[in-house]
Amino acid sequence: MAIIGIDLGTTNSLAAVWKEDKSVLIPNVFGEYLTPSVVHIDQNGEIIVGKIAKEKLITEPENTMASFKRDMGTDKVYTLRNREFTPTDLSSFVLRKLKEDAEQYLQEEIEEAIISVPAYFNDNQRSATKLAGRLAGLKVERIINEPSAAALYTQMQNKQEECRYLVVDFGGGTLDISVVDIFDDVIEIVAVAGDNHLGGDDFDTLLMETFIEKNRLEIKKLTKQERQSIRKEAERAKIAFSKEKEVQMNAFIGGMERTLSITEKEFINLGKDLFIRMQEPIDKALQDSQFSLEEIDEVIMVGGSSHMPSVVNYVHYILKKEPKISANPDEVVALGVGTYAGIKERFEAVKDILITDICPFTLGVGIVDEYSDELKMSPVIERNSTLPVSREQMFNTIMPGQTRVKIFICQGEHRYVKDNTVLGIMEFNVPCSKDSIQYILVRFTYDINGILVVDAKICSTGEIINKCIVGKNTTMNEEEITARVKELEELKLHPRKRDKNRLILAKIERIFEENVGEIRKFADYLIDYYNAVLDTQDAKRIAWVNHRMEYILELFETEPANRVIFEVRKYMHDEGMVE
Amino acid sequence: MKNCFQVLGIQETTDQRAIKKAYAVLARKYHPEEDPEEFKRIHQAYEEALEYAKSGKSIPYEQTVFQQEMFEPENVEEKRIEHEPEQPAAKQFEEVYESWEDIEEETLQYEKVYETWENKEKKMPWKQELYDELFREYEAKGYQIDLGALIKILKQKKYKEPLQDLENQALILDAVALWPKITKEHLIGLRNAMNTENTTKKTKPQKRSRRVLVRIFAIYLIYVVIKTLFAQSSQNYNREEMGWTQYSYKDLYPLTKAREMEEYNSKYAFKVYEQRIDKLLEEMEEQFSSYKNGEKLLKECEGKKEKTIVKEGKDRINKVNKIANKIQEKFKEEVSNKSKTSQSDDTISGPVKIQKEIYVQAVNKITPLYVTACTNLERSFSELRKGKISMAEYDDEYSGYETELKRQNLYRSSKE
Repeated sequence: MAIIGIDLGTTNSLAAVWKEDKSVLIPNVFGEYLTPSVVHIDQNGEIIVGKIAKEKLITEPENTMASFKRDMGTDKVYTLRNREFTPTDLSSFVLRKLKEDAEQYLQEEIEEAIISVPAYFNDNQRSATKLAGRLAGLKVERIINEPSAAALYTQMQNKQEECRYLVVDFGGGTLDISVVDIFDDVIEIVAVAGDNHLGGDDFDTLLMETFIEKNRLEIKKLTKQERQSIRKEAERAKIAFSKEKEVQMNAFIGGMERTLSITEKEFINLGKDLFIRMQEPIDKALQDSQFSLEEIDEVIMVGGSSHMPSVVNYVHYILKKEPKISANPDEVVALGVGTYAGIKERFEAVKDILITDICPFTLGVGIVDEYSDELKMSPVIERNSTLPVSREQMFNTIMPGQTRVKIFICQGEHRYVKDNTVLGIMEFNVPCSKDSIQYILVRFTYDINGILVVDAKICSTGEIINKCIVGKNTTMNEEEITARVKELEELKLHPRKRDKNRLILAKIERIFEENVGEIRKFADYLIDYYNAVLDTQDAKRIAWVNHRMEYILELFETEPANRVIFEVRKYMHDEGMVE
Repeated sequence: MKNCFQVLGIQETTDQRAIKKAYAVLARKYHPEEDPEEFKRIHQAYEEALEYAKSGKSIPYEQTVFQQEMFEPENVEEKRIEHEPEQPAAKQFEEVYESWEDIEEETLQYEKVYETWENKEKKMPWKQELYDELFREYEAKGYQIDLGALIKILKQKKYKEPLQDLENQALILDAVALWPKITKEHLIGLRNAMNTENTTKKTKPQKRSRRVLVRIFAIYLIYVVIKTLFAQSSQNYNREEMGWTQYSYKDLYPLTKAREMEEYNSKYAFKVYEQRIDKLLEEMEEQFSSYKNGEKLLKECEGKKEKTIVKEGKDRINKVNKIANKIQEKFKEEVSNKSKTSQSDDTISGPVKIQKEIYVQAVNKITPLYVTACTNLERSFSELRKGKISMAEYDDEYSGYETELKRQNLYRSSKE
């Protein structure tokens, strides 16, 4: 039974598997590798994931959700078609879809997966990701860091003897930096740093805001649809910057066409703050690794945002080294996770490869600060310790006669507990002695599966108190998980067979909503026409029309507005499609 | 215990490549998936070896659980002080006595030291008596330190009070700190002078010497006793730390530190308590100051119905009463909390305890004052509205209460 590797991204998700001694991406029903991480619930209560859902983001934004990875591990609840979903539930739908695609591709049942997460994901977010796997019917034993996966794949391609990489993984929603030391087939992740809320999406938001501001629109007065269509236009403009120096944005707002022309220079100026924010994690990772810039042999850029020339140039500028961009920056992480799946299954070709990962954050215990009323954090496991790791530290009670001890187990880099995340609290009695303080030995063990076990030993009695707080689902118990799995199973994924037709229909519907006048009327005609063809249930004919429709839709995207109808009519006439 | 190179199975080297090679082989053998415990050890050694190769620091030994062993229950038992320790210092003192020579002039040097602390002593007349008594005891036991007897003396009622005071204890210890300044030779000289009483030449210094010796010895004894007493109450007191053979300020450190800690603990508890009540008092003050300026208050009433004005006044008074009740509750809560936990008043000792008592009294006194002031002012305000009294009269009344409250509130203002 194969283990699949999944890159569950903010904007796009991919799956890969170890097959015939290499990592292979798994195509979805459209023959594409990228599946947009967008979920839509249609009127029949069926779940639609991917490209079709992305089209629905504009036509039915209230029943569609994207970028939910940003809220992973929080209590946020989205309401789609009167049903409540957590970010974990929505992620599980995406995973379910990927699992289905993989089963179709491999012709076997999939039960286990390895999922990659941003290195800077905290333990809540990691547990939420694992839970999403469980809800999708996948066993997720291992979570790996995205930059580690990227480094692993890059090494598999380059096969360097001894080398040091700095990997910049700039995706849709997160930025991860990692420093990797490679020798004798050992891949040591030395340091990681990152920004959980900096990604390509932020550039979209920026362009969107500029568009709204320059056209003197008010964001509050825009409908959801209008907002989404501006966002889509912003994304298109951002991508266009990789080829053009000046880009025009168009959108129909309140029945009027609004435009904004923006040059690359202006764009870079707008994104100044975002660029500056990129530097901080790079510095931090380098500093933590204790390598100087000269000791780094290569800078590797992966993730969707490496398509942006301005980002690449900026990294080149701050690191004084030309970054190496692989041919498929979106796919590197997934391919790396696929390779990791191969390692986990102990396949012969990758048997000798050893990859060690690190704990990206500091774990510690809250202690009383003598100089303020706040609880101070005393680190036990410092960030960037290689996993598995265990460390112990001695603590004592505040005053003689104390009977109870409360140990705050927290995670983060701040001085005070209140600024960090409290992962759990351990509370127990200590033997009371009126004139002596008690010593407690606290031991933290963090294993490669990301499970943190804390045990405390009362030195005077030798009693050991044990607590496993992270990595297992603390928010939900086994019964609740089983119940939730059943609940979510009621919602069926949209049948794979009809996906193609749905996508075409969804696209025309979007064109209908985005435009006015002639084009709108024509789109209306196309919808009717297409529905009529579908009603015939003639498979041959549908396949033929589908093929033509795809070309027509492409014309809508590429041709200038004034020529679009003319071109489409001409094409339809030539193909004998007009009734 | 193996050092990091031994764990990696290589010779000590600064060649990073060799270290990495050895680690790569071992890490594969003890794969983190299969043998995490062994891998942890190897990785630790690898990091240390690399550190060594980079910086050339000394080779650290493999980390052991020495902390754990140290605080293992049986070891803790062992560390506890035995209540009747040997007295090597006293024996040493005896030896000195037996082998003296004639170095009389040395004693004169010592006189200066003696004078400085004699001046100090004048402020504490009870000490003289105590010293004499202790020394007599010491002589009676044939120059052997009998702790039981010495402690008995110290625990006498007449010395109980001064000794309990931590401040006084510290002063004694200050005096004891002079002890290291007295060398063996001084003592020899003194004893010598005492034994040659018949010579007429230097009678005065002789008498003085005798007195000085008594003092020094008594102080030394007190030092021993106090340390022992303290050691009884502290399990963590280590015999070496007792400093039987060395007499310097460093030896006093554990005691001072403990005293500081105790004080800190009580202060901390008091601080939290104080903050809670201070916050309530501030609220009270705010309520009171809302009565300031009758003109403004009158303006606020303009255009309002008589009913609402009366209701607002009642609300104000209710609020004040509520706060006063809350303060009382806080006091009660504190008392009941104390009885619940094993923490008794003992931890709050000395000046802090007094400070707390003063505070409680002050707050108890001022709270009803605020209530009366507010009630009276409310009544006056309604009279002002009806025109029974003038604006000036009202304002006078307010400022009268204000000054009175300020006077009563001295404790708080002094703290600020």
